Amino acid sequence: MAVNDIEGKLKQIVPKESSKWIEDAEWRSENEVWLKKSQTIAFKILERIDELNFTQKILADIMKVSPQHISKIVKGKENLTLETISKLEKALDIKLINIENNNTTHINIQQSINISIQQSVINIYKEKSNIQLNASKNEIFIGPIKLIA
Amino acid sequence: MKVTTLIKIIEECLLSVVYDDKEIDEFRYIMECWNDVEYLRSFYIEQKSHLNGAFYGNISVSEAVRITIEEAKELEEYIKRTAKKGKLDISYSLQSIFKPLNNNEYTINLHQKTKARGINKKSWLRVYAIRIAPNMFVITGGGIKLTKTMNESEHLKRELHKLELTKSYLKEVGLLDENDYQFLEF
Repeated sequence: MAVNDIEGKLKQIVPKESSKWIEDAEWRSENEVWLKKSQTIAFKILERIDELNFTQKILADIMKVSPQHISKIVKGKENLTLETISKLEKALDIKLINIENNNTTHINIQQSINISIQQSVINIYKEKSNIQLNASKNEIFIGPIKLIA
Repeated sequence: MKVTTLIKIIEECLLSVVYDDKEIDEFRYIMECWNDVEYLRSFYIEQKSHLNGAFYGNISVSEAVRITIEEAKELEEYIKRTAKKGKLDISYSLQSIFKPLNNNEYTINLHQKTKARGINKKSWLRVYAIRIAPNMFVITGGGIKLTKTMNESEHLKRELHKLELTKSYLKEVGLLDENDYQFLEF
Protein backbone atom coordinates (compact mmCIF):
# COMPACT_ATOMS: atom_id res chain seq x y z
CA MET A 1 0.00 0.00 0.00
CA ALA A 2 1.53 3.31 -1.07
CA VAL A 3 0.64 6.52 0.69
CA ASN A 4 0.56 10.04 -0.68
CA ASP A 5 0.88 11.65 2.69
CA ILE A 6 4.05 10.28 4.29
CA GLU A 7 3.70 12.60 7.27
CA GLY A 8 0.23 11.23 7.95
CA LYS A 9 1.57 7.68 7.77
CA LEU A 10 4.41 8.53 10.15
CA LYS A 11 1.92 9.98 12.64
CA GLN A 12 0.04 6.68 12.53
CA ILE A 13 2.99 4.40 13.20
CA VAL A 14 5.62 6.51 15.02
CA PRO A 15 5.11 7.55 18.67
CA LYS A 16 5.21 11.26 19.50
CA GLU A 17 8.21 11.12 21.80
CA SER A 18 11.68 11.13 20.23
CA SER A 19 14.68 8.96 20.98
CA LYS A 20 16.74 10.02 23.98
CA TRP A 21 19.81 9.87 21.73
CA ILE A 22 19.86 13.64 21.26
CA GLU A 23 20.03 14.15 25.05
CA ASP A 24 22.81 11.56 25.31
CA ALA A 25 24.75 13.26 22.49
CA GLU A 26 24.40 16.69 24.09
CA TRP A 27 25.51 15.30 27.46
CA ARG A 28 28.57 13.67 25.87
CA SER A 29 29.42 16.92 24.13
CA GLU A 30 29.01 19.09 27.25
CA ASN A 31 31.12 16.73 29.37
CA GLU A 32 33.68 15.81 26.72
CA VAL A 33 36.75 17.06 28.60
CA TRP A 34 36.37 14.99 31.77
CA LEU A 35 34.81 12.05 29.89
CA LYS A 36 38.07 11.60 27.96
CA LYS A 37 39.97 11.37 31.24
CA SER A 38 37.38 9.00 32.70
CA GLN A 39 37.69 6.76 29.61
CA THR A 40 41.49 6.61 29.90
CA ILE A 41 41.21 5.68 33.58
CA ALA A 42 38.52 3.09 32.80
CA PHE A 43 40.81 1.37 30.30
CA LYS A 44 43.68 1.25 32.82
CA ILE A 45 41.36 -0.24 35.45
CA LEU A 46 40.09 -2.95 33.10
CA GLU A 47 43.66 -3.89 32.10
CA ARG A 48 44.66 -4.11 35.76
CA ILE A 49 41.59 -6.17 36.71
CA ASP A 50 42.65 -8.71 34.06
CA GLU A 51 46.31 -8.63 35.15
CA LEU A 52 45.34 -9.40 38.74
CA ASN A 53 42.77 -12.01 37.69
CA PHE A 54 40.19 -9.96 39.53
CA THR A 55 36.55 -9.52 38.62
CA GLN A 56 34.57 -6.30 38.92
CA LYS A 57 32.73 -7.95 41.84
CA ILE A 58 36.01 -8.57 43.70
CA LEU A 59 37.04 -4.95 43.14
CA ALA A 60 33.64 -3.75 44.39
CA ASP A 61 34.02 -5.89 47.53
CA ILE A 62 37.54 -4.59 48.25
CA MET A 63 36.40 -0.99 47.79
CA LYS A 64 33.15 -1.59 49.68
CA VAL A 65 31.08 -0.13 46.86
CA SER A 66 28.30 -1.62 44.75
CA PRO A 67 29.14 -3.62 41.60
CA GLN A 68 26.91 -1.14 39.72
CA HIS A 69 29.28 1.67 40.71
CA ILE A 70 32.29 -0.26 39.36
CA SER A 71 30.35 -1.05 36.18
CA LYS A 72 29.75 2.66 35.59
CA ILE A 73 33.42 3.45 36.25
CA VAL A 74 34.74 0.89 33.75
CA LYS A 75 32.41 2.15 31.05
CA GLY A 76 34.27 5.47 31.29
CA LYS A 77 31.14 7.44 32.15
CA GLU A 78 31.81 8.31 35.77
CA ASN A 79 32.95 11.74 36.94
CA LEU A 80 35.42 10.29 39.43
CA THR A 81 36.23 12.05 42.68
CA LEU A 82 39.77 12.14 44.08
CA GLU A 83 38.51 9.90 46.90
CA THR A 84 37.29 7.23 44.46
CA ILE A 85 40.50 7.45 42.41
CA SER A 86 42.56 7.00 45.58
CA LYS A 87 40.46 3.99 46.63
CA LEU A 88 40.87 2.45 43.16
CA GLU A 89 44.62 3.05 43.22
CA LYS A 90 44.89 1.34 46.61
CA ALA A 91 42.66 -1.61 45.70
CA LEU A 92 44.45 -2.24 42.40
CA ASP A 93 47.94 -1.22 43.55
CA ILE A 94 48.31 1.04 40.53
CA LYS A 95 48.85 4.73 39.78
CA LEU A 96 45.86 6.08 37.84
CA ILE A 97 46.69 9.77 37.81
CA ASN A 98 49.98 11.51 38.31
CA ILE A 99 50.14 14.80 40.19
CA GLU A 100 53.69 16.06 40.46
CA ASN A 101 54.73 18.25 43.36
CA ASN A 102 56.78 20.33 40.91
CA ASN A 103 53.53 21.49 39.31
CA THR A 104 52.33 22.89 42.62
CA THR A 105 55.55 24.87 42.99
CA HIS A 106 55.14 26.10 39.44
CA ILE A 107 51.57 27.25 40.16
CA ASN A 108 52.76 29.09 43.27
CA ILE A 109 55.45 30.90 41.31
CA GLN A 110 52.95 31.75 38.60
CA GLN A 111 50.48 32.97 41.22
CA SER A 112 53.19 35.15 42.78
CA ILE A 113 54.00 36.63 39.37
CA ASN A 114 50.31 37.32 38.74
CA ILE A 115 49.87 38.91 42.15
CA SER A 116 52.95 41.06 41.70
CA ILE A 117 51.77 42.17 38.22
CA GLN A 118 48.31 42.97 39.63
CA GLN A 119 49.93 44.98 42.45
CA SER A 120 52.05 46.92 39.95
CA VAL A 121 48.97 47.72 37.86
CA ILE A 122 47.13 48.91 40.96
CA ASN A 123 50.11 51.07 41.94
CA ILE A 124 50.19 52.66 38.48
CA TYR A 125 46.45 53.33 38.70
CA LYS A 126 46.82 54.79 42.18
CA GLU A 127 49.49 57.14 40.90
CA LYS A 128 47.76 58.11 37.68
CA SER A 129 44.11 58.23 38.72
CA ASN A 130 41.89 58.87 41.65
CA ILE A 131 41.60 55.22 42.73
CA GLN A 132 41.77 54.62 46.49
CA LEU A 133 42.02 51.24 48.15
CA ASN A 134 40.75 50.31 51.58
CA ALA A 135 42.15 46.79 51.90
CA SER A 136 40.80 46.13 55.40
CA LYS A 137 37.21 46.59 54.20
CA ASN A 138 37.80 45.15 50.68
CA GLU A 139 36.66 48.46 49.22
CA ILE A 140 37.90 50.28 46.12
CA PHE A 141 36.96 53.90 45.42
CA ILE A 142 37.14 55.20 41.84
CA GLY A 143 36.31 58.84 42.27
CA PRO A 144 32.88 58.91 43.95
CA ILE A 145 32.08 55.24 43.08
CA LYS A 146 32.60 52.60 45.76
CA LEU A 147 33.27 48.98 44.71
CA ILE A 148 33.13 46.22 47.30
CA ALA A 149 35.14 43.10 46.52
CA MET B 1 13.67 -10.86 16.77
CA LYS B 2 11.00 -8.50 15.44
CA VAL B 3 10.40 -4.78 15.03
CA THR B 4 8.51 -3.29 17.99
CA THR B 5 8.24 0.26 16.70
CA LEU B 6 10.00 3.11 14.94
CA ILE B 7 11.17 6.15 16.88
CA LYS B 8 12.14 9.67 15.80
CA ILE B 9 15.84 10.52 15.91
CA ILE B 10 15.62 13.82 14.01
CA GLU B 11 12.17 15.22 13.31
CA GLU B 12 10.89 14.58 9.77
CA CYS B 13 14.02 12.87 8.46
CA LEU B 14 15.66 10.25 10.62
CA LEU B 15 14.01 7.33 12.39
CA SER B 16 15.41 4.35 14.24
CA VAL B 17 14.03 0.88 14.83
CA VAL B 18 13.28 -0.52 18.27
CA TYR B 19 13.52 -4.33 18.25
CA ASP B 20 11.91 -6.56 20.83
CA ASP B 21 15.30 -7.65 22.26
CA LYS B 22 16.17 -4.17 23.61
CA GLU B 23 14.40 -1.37 25.42
CA ILE B 24 16.11 1.42 23.48
CA ASP B 25 16.31 2.22 19.79
CA GLU B 26 19.19 0.98 17.66
CA PHE B 27 20.85 4.33 16.97
CA ARG B 28 20.94 5.26 20.64
CA TYR B 29 22.19 1.76 21.44
CA ILE B 30 25.10 1.80 18.97
CA MET B 31 26.16 5.26 20.08
CA GLU B 32 26.10 4.04 23.69
CA CYS B 33 28.23 1.02 22.74
CA TRP B 34 30.68 3.17 20.79
CA ASN B 35 31.21 5.33 23.87
CA ASP B 36 31.49 2.44 26.32
CA VAL B 37 35.13 1.60 27.15
CA GLU B 38 34.28 -1.81 28.63
CA TYR B 39 32.21 -2.87 25.61
CA LEU B 40 34.80 -1.63 23.10
CA ARG B 41 37.77 -3.20 24.89
CA SER B 42 36.06 -6.62 25.00
CA PHE B 43 35.04 -6.29 21.36
CA TYR B 44 38.55 -5.46 20.14
CA ILE B 45 40.18 -8.17 22.25
CA GLU B 46 37.80 -10.65 20.62
CA GLN B 47 38.50 -9.20 17.15
CA LYS B 48 42.25 -8.79 17.63
CA SER B 49 43.15 -10.92 14.60
CA HIS B 50 41.11 -8.62 12.33
CA LEU B 51 42.42 -5.50 14.06
CA ASN B 52 45.98 -6.57 13.31
CA GLY B 53 45.19 -7.61 9.75
CA ALA B 54 46.59 -6.19 6.55
CA PHE B 55 44.05 -3.40 6.14
CA TYR B 56 44.41 -1.65 9.47
CA GLY B 57 48.06 -2.44 10.13
CA ASN B 58 48.89 -3.04 13.75
CA ILE B 59 46.55 -1.11 16.02
CA SER B 60 46.54 -1.71 19.77
CA VAL B 61 43.28 -2.35 21.61
CA SER B 62 43.64 0.89 23.55
CA GLU B 63 44.21 2.87 20.33
CA ALA B 64 41.20 1.18 18.69
CA VAL B 65 39.00 2.16 21.64
CA ARG B 66 40.20 5.77 21.48
CA ILE B 67 39.70 6.00 17.69
CA THR B 68 36.19 4.52 17.93
CA ILE B 69 35.00 7.00 20.57
CA GLU B 70 36.39 9.92 18.57
CA GLU B 71 34.91 8.73 15.27
CA ALA B 72 31.52 7.98 16.81
CA LYS B 73 31.31 11.56 18.00
CA GLU B 74 32.25 12.89 14.56
CA LEU B 75 29.77 10.59 12.84
CA GLU B 76 26.79 11.46 15.05
CA GLU B 77 27.49 15.17 14.61
CA TYR B 78 27.85 14.72 10.84
CA ILE B 79 24.54 12.86 10.57
CA LYS B 80 22.76 15.47 12.72
CA ARG B 81 24.20 18.38 10.70
CA THR B 82 23.42 16.82 7.30
CA ALA B 83 19.85 15.87 8.25
CA LYS B 84 19.13 19.46 9.28
CA LYS B 85 20.73 20.90 6.14
CA GLY B 86 18.86 18.37 4.01
CA LYS B 87 15.52 19.78 5.18
CA LEU B 88 16.41 23.02 3.38
CA ASP B 89 18.49 21.81 0.45
CA ILE B 90 18.14 18.37 -1.14
CA SER B 91 21.78 18.33 -2.29
CA TYR B 92 22.81 18.13 1.38
CA SER B 93 20.30 15.38 2.19
CA LEU B 94 20.99 12.25 4.22
CA GLN B 95 21.26 10.46 0.88
CA SER B 96 24.72 12.03 0.57
CA ILE B 97 25.81 10.06 3.66
CA PHE B 98 23.78 6.85 3.41
CA LYS B 99 25.10 5.00 0.35
CA PRO B 100 23.79 1.72 -1.11
CA LEU B 101 24.88 -1.25 1.00
CA ASN B 102 26.29 -3.00 -2.01
CA ASN B 103 29.27 -1.05 -3.38
CA ASN B 104 28.38 -2.11 -6.94
CA GLU B 105 24.86 -0.70 -6.73
CA TYR B 106 24.55 2.60 -8.57
CA THR B 107 20.77 3.02 -8.71
CA ILE B 108 18.22 4.01 -6.09
CA ASN B 109 15.62 1.37 -5.24
CA LEU B 110 12.49 1.29 -3.14
CA HIS B 111 13.34 0.60 0.52
CA GLN B 112 16.99 0.38 -0.39
CA LYS B 113 19.45 -1.03 2.14
CA THR B 114 22.12 1.57 2.88
CA LYS B 115 25.13 2.27 5.05
CA ALA B 116 26.79 5.37 6.42
CA ARG B 117 30.45 5.18 7.37
CA GLY B 118 32.71 7.16 9.65
CA ILE B 119 34.18 10.32 8.19
CA ASN B 120 37.78 9.12 8.07
CA LYS B 121 38.74 7.18 4.95
CA LYS B 122 39.68 4.04 6.86
CA SER B 123 36.83 4.28 9.37
CA TRP B 124 35.38 0.94 10.47
CA LEU B 125 32.15 2.41 11.86
CA ARG B 126 28.95 1.65 9.96
CA VAL B 127 25.37 2.78 10.52
CA TYR B 128 22.85 0.75 8.55
CA ALA B 129 19.54 2.14 7.34
CA ILE B 130 16.65 1.69 4.93
CA ARG B 131 15.98 4.56 2.54
CA ILE B 132 12.48 6.05 2.41
CA ALA B 133 13.24 9.35 0.60
CA PRO B 134 16.34 11.45 -0.15
CA ASN B 135 16.25 12.93 3.34
CA MET B 136 14.38 10.21 5.20
CA PHE B 137 16.06 7.05 6.47
CA VAL B 138 15.23 4.38 9.05
CA ILE B 139 18.27 3.22 11.03
CA THR B 140 18.28 -0.55 11.52
CA GLY B 141 21.53 -0.88 13.49
CA GLY B 142 25.25 -0.44 13.21
CA GLY B 143 28.53 -2.19 13.61
CA ILE B 144 32.30 -2.08 13.58
CA LYS B 145 33.42 -3.54 10.26
CA LEU B 146 36.91 -5.01 10.44
CA THR B 147 36.41 -7.64 7.75
CA LYS B 148 36.20 -7.15 3.99
CA THR B 149 32.63 -8.41 3.76
CA MET B 150 29.78 -8.41 6.27
CA ASN B 151 29.34 -12.15 5.86
CA GLU B 152 32.79 -12.82 7.36
CA SER B 153 31.69 -11.60 10.77
CA GLU B 154 28.92 -12.93 13.01
CA HIS B 155 27.89 -9.56 14.42
CA LEU B 156 27.61 -8.05 10.93
CA LYS B 157 25.57 -11.02 9.70
CA ARG B 158 23.07 -10.04 12.40
CA GLU B 159 23.02 -6.53 10.92
CA LEU B 160 22.18 -7.98 7.50
CA HIS B 161 19.30 -9.85 9.08
CA LYS B 162 18.07 -6.65 10.79
CA LEU B 163 18.15 -4.77 7.48
CA GLU B 164 16.01 -7.46 5.85
CA LEU B 165 13.64 -7.59 8.82
CA THR B 166 13.11 -3.82 8.78
CA LYS B 167 12.67 -3.71 5.01
CA SER B 168 9.85 -6.26 5.31
CA TYR B 169 8.29 -4.29 8.19
CA LEU B 170 8.33 -1.03 6.20
CA LYS B 171 6.70 -2.76 3.23
CA GLU B 172 4.08 -4.26 5.52
CA VAL B 173 3.14 -0.92 7.13
CA GLY B 174 3.36 0.86 3.75
CA LEU B 175 5.90 3.48 4.71
CA LEU B 176 7.12 4.90 1.42
CA ASP B 177 7.16 8.26 -0.29
CA GLU B 178 5.20 8.41 -3.53
CA ASN B 179 6.91 11.69 -4.42
CA ASP B 180 10.14 9.73 -4.41
CA TYR B 181 9.15 7.63 -7.43
CA GLN B 182 10.85 10.13 -9.72
CA PHE B 183 14.21 9.12 -8.19
CA LEU B 184 13.62 5.40 -8.34
CA GLU B 185 14.78 2.98 -10.99
CA PHE B 186 12.97 -0.33 -11.27
